[in-house]
Amino acid sequence: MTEGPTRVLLIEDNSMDARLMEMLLTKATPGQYEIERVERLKDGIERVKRGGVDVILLDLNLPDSRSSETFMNLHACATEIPIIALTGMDDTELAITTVQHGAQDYLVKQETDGRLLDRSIRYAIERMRIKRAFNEQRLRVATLLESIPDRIYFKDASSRFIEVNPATARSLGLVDPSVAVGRSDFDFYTPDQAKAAFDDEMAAICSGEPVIGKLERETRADGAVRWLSTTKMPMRNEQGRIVGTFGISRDVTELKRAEEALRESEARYRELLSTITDYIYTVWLKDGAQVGTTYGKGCVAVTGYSPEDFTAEPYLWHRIVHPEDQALVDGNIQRVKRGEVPGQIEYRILHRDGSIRWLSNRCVPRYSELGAFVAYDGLVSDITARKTAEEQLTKAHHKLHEAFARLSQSHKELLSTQMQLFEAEKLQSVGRLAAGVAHEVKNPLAILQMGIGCLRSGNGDSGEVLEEMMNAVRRADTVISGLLDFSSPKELNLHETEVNAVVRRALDFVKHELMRAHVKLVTAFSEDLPPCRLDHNKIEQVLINVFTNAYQAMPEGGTLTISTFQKRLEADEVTPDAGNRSGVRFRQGDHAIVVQVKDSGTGIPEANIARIFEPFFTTKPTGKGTGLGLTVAQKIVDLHAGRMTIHNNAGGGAVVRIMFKPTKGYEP
Amino acid sequence: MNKVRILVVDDEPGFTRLIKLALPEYEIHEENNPTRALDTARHCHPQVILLDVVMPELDGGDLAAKLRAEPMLARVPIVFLTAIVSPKECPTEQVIGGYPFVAKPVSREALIQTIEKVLAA
Repeated sequence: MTEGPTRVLLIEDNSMDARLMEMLLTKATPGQYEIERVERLKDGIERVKRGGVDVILLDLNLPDSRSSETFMNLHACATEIPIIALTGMDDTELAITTVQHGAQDYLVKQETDGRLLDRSIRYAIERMRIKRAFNEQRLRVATLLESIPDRIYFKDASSRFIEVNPATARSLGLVDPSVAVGRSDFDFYTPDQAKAAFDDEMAAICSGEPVIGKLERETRADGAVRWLSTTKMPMRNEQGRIVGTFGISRDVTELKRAEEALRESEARYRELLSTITDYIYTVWLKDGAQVGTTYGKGCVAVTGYSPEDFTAEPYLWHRIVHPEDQALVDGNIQRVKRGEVPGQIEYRILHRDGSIRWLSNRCVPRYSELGAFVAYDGLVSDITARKTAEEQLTKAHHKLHEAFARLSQSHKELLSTQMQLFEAEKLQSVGRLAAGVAHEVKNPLAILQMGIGCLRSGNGDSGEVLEEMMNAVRRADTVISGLLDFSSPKELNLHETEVNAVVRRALDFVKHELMRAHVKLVTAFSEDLPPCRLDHNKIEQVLINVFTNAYQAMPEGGTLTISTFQKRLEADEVTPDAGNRSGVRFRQGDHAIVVQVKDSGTGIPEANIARIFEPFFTTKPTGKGTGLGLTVAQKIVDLHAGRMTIHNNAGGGAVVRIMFKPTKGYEP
Repeated sequence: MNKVRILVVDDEPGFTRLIKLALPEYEIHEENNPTRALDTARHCHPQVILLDVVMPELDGGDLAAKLRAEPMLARVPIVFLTAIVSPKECPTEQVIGGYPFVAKPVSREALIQTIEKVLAA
């Protein structure tokens, strides 16, 4: 309330009454009131509008207004100013009506004395002040309920809404908050959610204990999830008895999400931190002595010790170095202290968790502006993963190396076995050829003996005789040399070779057999064959085998046609036959040197063609063949990157074809 | 005195040549091609035929059969010459037909002995 005198507006047309009032007030409390009088209501309203009036004394019967209307009109213009109605003795009823309409008090003029008037004015003003304050409070509460985004609600002892604020109404899907009154959560939420809230409220009612800041999960009808922080209090009546609950719920979904985001971010940070494998340290020096160290935070991840640990124990860094690596580390520090810039060193440490870690450390000296050596900085990286990988790689490399060595050995043994097989088969051939070879040697011997006869008896021209004898010696020598050649080498010995010469030499070995078997030999050698890289001994072995098979296939005699030629291979000549994988080496259109051996024998039964190259497959009587001849022959041709095929000739007999590639670079 | 005419059929020219040189006491006719041997025999009328067994195209046995089929030559004695290297190399009775065979290599003297033996028979 304002200090100073109370400003009273007296609206009174009767001068006598007015003077009486002024007198009463002035007498009772001198200086307390400042009285201003108007005679008409109109003037009173105008005066009120100007302000500065604390209380109004109003005569209800004025020249321009009468009875209760006078009050109503004034009150409408001055709701904030307490009004005391002044009436006559006969007007008490009117006075009471006026109070019901909002007047603070009424006074009967004739009965009023100074004290009564003073008290009435004081009370009127006080009551008005209280009412105003109450209204303001109400307005604040209403504003709070109306505008706050949090949900506020009041419920009875059965958890039915008594009042909800607009935010609550909105959350319930209502426009008008009053619609919620008398209903409960069960009308708006799923049974589970409503039950949970109901239980909380009943607990608060029974125990009198509030539920504060409870996090509630709310699933909307559209499936959206909201998080609420809810506080519920028991609501008491004037007697202090609990009659219900009230609560406030705040939507904290965004906060919750932010929290989750933060948690996620923290987790990521921790993960990131755990992957950090580097840290920087600085060692401060004074006069060459260590006076302090600074460690980057990454040292925890790398060593398990914090910067504080390193500070607390000055030689911790040295203690954790692996004993076998300490000399290396010490040496490095000496070099740094001498001002050198050493290269990176790699050493092991014992991590706090007991594991051994590999570190790389590169340090550089630091100088002050004056050139004094004040510190050195180092970058330490955890290279355990790299080292482990290197070790594994080295191990793997060793294993691979060993495996390769074993493989090489096996391959060598295999090759040796293969060569032994060739040898065995060849010796068989030699055995079979013994007769022919002996014949080839005995004929020259016959010449020599006859020559000796000539010379002894003195017959013939000795020059001529000796010439024939020399020829015979050479013939015998050629046969023996060939035989030795044929049987000696155990490895593939490739040389640029003339194919026809090889075929002729092979024929020499079987010529005798062919004659004995009454086989007529027809040869057609192409004389412009390109050169070809062959092991002539091995190929002779192959050809002898083929020739032998051929004449053995003609026990009643026949014709052996041997031809050599070159040609471009057709599609059907490069398709591998069953059981023959060697054909893959040739492609259609490739240039090939072909040795073709055709007999006029019985041919090969169709059933046997597929098996003809199989080891130990033979149709010959026991003792006549090993069953390895063609197997070995094909293997040898294979080693020459050649191809060997056998098929039956349309006109009878079998045809063997052996194909070779000309020497590289040769173009017909 | 006329020398005894001998036809030597062998695919080894060196051998037939040396026989001719080693045996000047005989009139030696050489033939290195067995397929022409029959013709040669018809022309030179040999009194003894030395016949190699293993020859290309026509071997000694077959040639002997052909010679015997010729009325003019059927009675001419034949001496087979062969480089015996195994028992199966021995000419069969059927091939020899009672005539002797000589194993290569053979000495000049042994060959003369055999020839004289068949001439005397």
